[in-house]
Amino acid sequence: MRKMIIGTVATLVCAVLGGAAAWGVMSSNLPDETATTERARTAADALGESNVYVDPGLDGAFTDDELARIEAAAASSDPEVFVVVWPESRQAGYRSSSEVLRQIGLRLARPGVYFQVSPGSALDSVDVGIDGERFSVYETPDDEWSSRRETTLLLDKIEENDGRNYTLGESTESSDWGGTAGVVSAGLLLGLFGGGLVGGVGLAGWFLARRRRAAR
Amino acid sequence: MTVALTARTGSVARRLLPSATTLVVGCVFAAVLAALVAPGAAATPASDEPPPHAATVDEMVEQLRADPVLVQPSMGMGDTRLAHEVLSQAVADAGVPVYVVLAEMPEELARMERPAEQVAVLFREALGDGIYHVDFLEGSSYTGAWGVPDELDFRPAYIALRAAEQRASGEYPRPSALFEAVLVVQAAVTPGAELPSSVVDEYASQPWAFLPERLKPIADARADRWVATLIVVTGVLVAGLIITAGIARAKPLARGRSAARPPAYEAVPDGLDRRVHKRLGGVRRRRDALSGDELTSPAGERATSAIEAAERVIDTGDELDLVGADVLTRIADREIDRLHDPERRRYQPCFINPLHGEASDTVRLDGSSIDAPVCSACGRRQGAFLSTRKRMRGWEPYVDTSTVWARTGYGALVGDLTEQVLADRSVRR
Repeated sequence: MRKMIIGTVATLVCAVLGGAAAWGVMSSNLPDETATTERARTAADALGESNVYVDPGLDGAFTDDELARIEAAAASSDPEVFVVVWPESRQAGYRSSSEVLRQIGLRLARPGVYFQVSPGSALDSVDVGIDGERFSVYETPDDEWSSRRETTLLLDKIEENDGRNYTLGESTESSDWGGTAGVVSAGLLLGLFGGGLVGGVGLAGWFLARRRRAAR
Repeated sequence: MTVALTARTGSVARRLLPSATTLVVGCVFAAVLAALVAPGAAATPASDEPPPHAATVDEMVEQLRADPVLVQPSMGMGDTRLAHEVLSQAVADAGVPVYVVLAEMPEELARMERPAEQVAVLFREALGDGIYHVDFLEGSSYTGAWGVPDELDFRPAYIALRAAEQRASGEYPRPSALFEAVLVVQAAVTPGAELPSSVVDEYASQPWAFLPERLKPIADARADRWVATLIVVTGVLVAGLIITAGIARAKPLARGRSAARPPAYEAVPDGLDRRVHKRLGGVRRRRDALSGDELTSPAGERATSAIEAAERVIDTGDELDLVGADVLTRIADREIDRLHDPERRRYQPCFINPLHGEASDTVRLDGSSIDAPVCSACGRRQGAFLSTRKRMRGWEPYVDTSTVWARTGYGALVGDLTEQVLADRSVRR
């Protein structure tokens, strides 16, 4: 009985310490959502006044009329749409367009759909602060930039987005594990199998060591 | 003299001479620039405010007149001000004018071949001799040098860049344009010398030195954290409880050799000599108390013969003979008992070890077809044979010796042990 109590207490302490260590290690792998690159700050500040931001380097990529139509459609869309027009870059401190769009959305703190328009690159979007139906805007870019084509495409996508079901708040669903049930069941199952294996091997090792010790 | 070095991002710089095409295009742009850039044009004063976006070559030239470092947000690795500061410090240490442009490509150069090289020629036309490092967002980098010392060589910068790339962590580390520019400027600061590894490592450790790795989506990273924590907690609990339960329920093991496995031999115990002499004395007294009829009966004669055989082997000094004397004494004792109780069976010792006492069971010996009589303990679990220690060969089971005891199994295998012992000792004598 004494062995059982000591073993159970030691197991509980090890489980708590191991869990804390695992939480700490995995927390260091979480992306830093407070970090915002310069481009994202600039775009977010501009999107506070308008739903469309055009980088100075692409000034003239759309006509004033096209921008006005996009602006009107984006502002009236539900969920709201924000459009960033700039040359895509891998030298701006982020890896992908979805990363920088998320940075913009978090800094702006306005839930909605954030679009990136870059000449020569595919139209891209990301949901920030909303959890809604899957919505993909990916379109293979044309070799030649055409503001008319891009405006039509953008307006179509904004119209497609308008009225789709969504709720405010971030989705916690993981592409690897699924929702909460998937996360819990995966963790428990892997823990049970792994723990059972380790426990069995450990116990067998203890018995072998005990026999060897007794044989001396 | 003119020195031109070009480097496609991700490859070692190659020394090139300005091509004829470059010169022609350069002249055309030089003429345009000459018209646009009026002598004595006021330079943009340096201030904390970022300069306006330079979308054309002319605007770039204007900005370079005021500040030899031009970094646009799309090339600034997330912090243009920091990038500008790093490059400005490096440029300030150079003994020759150094200009660095990390920017989006002006629209007017978009359809030209090798735009970075061509715009460097234009910059030199407008700004004079010096080192020009140009890297556009959509193209490759170019470093051109005019009116600089002969020993100036940018290869050390690219060698250091490749070495830093190989040492970097991550799956596919790729140096940033900013890192490349900093090393090129450093090469200009110390012409002809290799870049100190401490300087390169210091730059390589900065967050802007390499293009960032792909980040896992926050939802996936959070789910991974929960799964990992659950795995560890559940795994430790399950493993701990299995081990705890196993240890708590395990029966205690007796310490010592006998608990682990049966011994390989059983020796003749110390003090046997005294016990056998005592027992033999007792049997003699019982025999002497017998009447004449009893002494001449078959059992009485067998008892007398057994005592005589025991007397012959008890004092030879041989361990196995001593055991034989013990068995013969017991045989004699039993035969005297049989005078009054003829139904009792004759004495037959345990074949495995006669010192275990009388046989009451049989066991099929390993590697044998004979069911040998053994004691009840050896019947349950066969023990080790009575053995004697040989000087060179170690312990030897008595059944492997060349003795009458091995042949007879101390009487376990034959019914005439006494006769065989007497015959054996008569022959020896």
